[in-house]
Amino acid sequence: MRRFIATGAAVILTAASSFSQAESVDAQGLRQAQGELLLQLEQLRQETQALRGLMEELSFQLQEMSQDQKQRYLDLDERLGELVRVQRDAQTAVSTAGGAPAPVVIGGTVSTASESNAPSVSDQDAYNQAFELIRAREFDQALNAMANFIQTYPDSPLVLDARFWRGQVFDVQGQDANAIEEFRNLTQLAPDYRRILQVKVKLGKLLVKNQDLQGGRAILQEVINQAPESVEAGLAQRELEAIN
Amino acid sequence: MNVFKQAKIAGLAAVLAVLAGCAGQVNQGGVDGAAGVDGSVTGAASDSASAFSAAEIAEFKASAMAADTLFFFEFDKSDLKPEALDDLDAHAKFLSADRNAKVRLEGHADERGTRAYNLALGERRANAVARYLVIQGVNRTQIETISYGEERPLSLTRDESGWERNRRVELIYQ
Amino acid sequence: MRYLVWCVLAWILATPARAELVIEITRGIENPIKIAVVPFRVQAGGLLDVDVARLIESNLERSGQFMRVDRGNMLSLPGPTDQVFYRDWRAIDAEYTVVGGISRVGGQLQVTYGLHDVYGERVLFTEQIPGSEDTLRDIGHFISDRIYEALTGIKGIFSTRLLYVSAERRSEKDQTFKLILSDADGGRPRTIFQSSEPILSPAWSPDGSRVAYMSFRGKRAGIYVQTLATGEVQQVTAFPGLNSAPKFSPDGRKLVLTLSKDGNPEIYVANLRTGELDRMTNHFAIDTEASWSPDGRSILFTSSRGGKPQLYLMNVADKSVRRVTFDGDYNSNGAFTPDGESIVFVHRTNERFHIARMNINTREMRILTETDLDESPSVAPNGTMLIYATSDEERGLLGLVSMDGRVRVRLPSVSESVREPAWSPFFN
Repeated sequence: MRRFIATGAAVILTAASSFSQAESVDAQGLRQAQGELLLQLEQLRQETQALRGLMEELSFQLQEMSQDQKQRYLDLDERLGELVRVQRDAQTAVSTAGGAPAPVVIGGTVSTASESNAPSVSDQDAYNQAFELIRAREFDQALNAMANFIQTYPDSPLVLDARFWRGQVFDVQGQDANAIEEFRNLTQLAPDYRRILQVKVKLGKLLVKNQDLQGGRAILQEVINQAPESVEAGLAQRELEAIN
Repeated sequence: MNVFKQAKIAGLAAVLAVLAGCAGQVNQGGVDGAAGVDGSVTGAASDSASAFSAAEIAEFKASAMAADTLFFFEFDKSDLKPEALDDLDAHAKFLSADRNAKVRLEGHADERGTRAYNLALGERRANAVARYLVIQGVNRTQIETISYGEERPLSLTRDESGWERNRRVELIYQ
Repeated sequence: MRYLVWCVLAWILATPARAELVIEITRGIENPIKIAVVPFRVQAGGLLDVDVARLIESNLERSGQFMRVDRGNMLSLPGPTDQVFYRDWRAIDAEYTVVGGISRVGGQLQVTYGLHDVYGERVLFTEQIPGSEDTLRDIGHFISDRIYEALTGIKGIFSTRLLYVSAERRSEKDQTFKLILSDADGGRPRTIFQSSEPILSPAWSPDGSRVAYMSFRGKRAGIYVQTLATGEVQQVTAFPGLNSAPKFSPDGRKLVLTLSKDGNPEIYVANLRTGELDRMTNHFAIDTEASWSPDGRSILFTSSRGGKPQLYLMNVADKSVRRVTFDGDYNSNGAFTPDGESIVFVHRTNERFHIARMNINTREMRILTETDLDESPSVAPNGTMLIYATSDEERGLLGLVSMDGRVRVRLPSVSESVREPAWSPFFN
């Protein structure tokens, strides 16, 4: 009996001591695990923050892009509308070209449609022919044809377009000085020309390219001031940033 | 480290013995086995009750004093570098053995970036160290944290070699 | 000539006497007003230690909108009551001329001055201001304000004050920090608080009567509000952890500040009368450096919740937050301009820290400074310039830059390292 009790006590003692030992091992392991968890938590936090940052940036970019897109669409729509209008005008002119224009009495003076500003059949045709040469990439011939057109129809509203395209062709050909002259003329002759912003951006770029930084900057800034919301203003801005 | 290793083995043996626990002989053997490494077992076993012998505390203290007290960080970061952990473990062991010991953690930043932000960054660094120590068994009440931001640089060198020394937590025994 | 950009890199040393001021205008505006400030005729019995005319021309020139006419080029030096021959001034391209004198009337000084329009050949106005030796600088600043406003239409900032922190370092743990109050030109610096522990983030109350700052009492940080006239100090917070970056609300009743008493740096609004705290943010990242919009409806603050410090704008009413800076990986310590249209902040680009300005609506951004480690922008109350901290190889310096970045001026050359400038509101 005594022996039994003694053995029992020994068992309990052993169990107790081994229990506390087990706990210490557990505590040690727990600490290590907690330490690892802490590091992992910190990593997770950092990752969450980085992801949040990325999400903030992406949603901002998306918002910017959709705004941009909308603006581009509106711009495109406007241009297309204009193109359609020009074509329609040209067609109307062609269809009425058969009969001699009837004299119109305005305020007691007699004038004819041919004297009005609407493009006559022939000037539209001549312009179209010249423009076809550009499309065919016959640049030298196109330059001549446009020059002829300007001489023959000095009063045609298409003269501005002819000048514009001459400038563009010069630019394509790398004749910067000529291109600059043509574009500059346009800005002076026709400040209200519908492509004036485009012209100015082109002119600005060419000036910058040809070391006239001050002139280039001034004209690009003009575009931004004149129509800050336009696509051209964006281009001008980019150009300005490239200089600085 | 040695002490713990022995305790682990002894403990493990005891657990196995209890689990196996039918034959008195085996039990007896277990007790014998435990008795063989008696001193270290009791020492380790009383760990959880946080009563270390003065000699042990002195030993922990010696290794804590030998450990690094400067912990460095990356720019705009407050996560501990892996190489800091061994030294921090040494401090933790001493601090959790001697509850009267106290430390002050001073967080610092380099001069780049704005001052108030750097003050916050210094605090985060001090807190990162504090949190690690607490998990290793140190009482939060033994730790005091403070941030000096970029106001107390160690190095005045104005390049990465200086800045990396300034992005730090200093552990100071009180 | 007038219409050319004057790319002057002029080092003009102002009065060697008291205002030790180095003006370095790296880029002027396109069309500075040329003004001749004739030395004031002193009939006060003895010399005065303030050259009022020099003070005025330095003030005006520091705005970047004026260019002085050198005294050596003046053909005549008329006194306040002498006739001004306009052709003399036209000959040296002066557009405006200031003449003045200081006389003693009884025990007091009397400053008389007049502003002449050279091309219009007329006196714009004359004034008499009573004062004393002690207020001569104030009078000089006052006259500068009058002239500036008359010729630009914008209220002058020459009578405003600056607050900044200076630090003298003997070793890492042995430093002296001083909170210094000075004139807008850096003149008359006086220490209003001193400590061996760091002083940070000084900020003005909207009426200019009190200043808030962070300092340590013992080893613990706290936010304190000091009344300038009496020197009385009120402790606003001293919680465990951070107590930092205080800014007065536009009505002067509250402070927005950063506390980390709950474990993380968060933005709080403290009611200065009741002591009540309202927690504004709740995020495990750093939230700090908050400041109010002029209408008090929004709070701009720095947060690292997106991984890098960026500026966020909070609607005070519902505490909703949106991010406002997207360029670059470090944008912090933002503040609104007085018109509420733009914000100024610290922006990192190419590993360098500069002051930038951004229109909050159009998002158009402009980098204003060219030095490195630029920080702590504080906008002048008339919105034309800001003061910021920068540094050379050894120490902190203060700089001024116009809001378009065209005019840059370095502020005073004192011996200590200076930082954390805060521009006062108007006092009148």
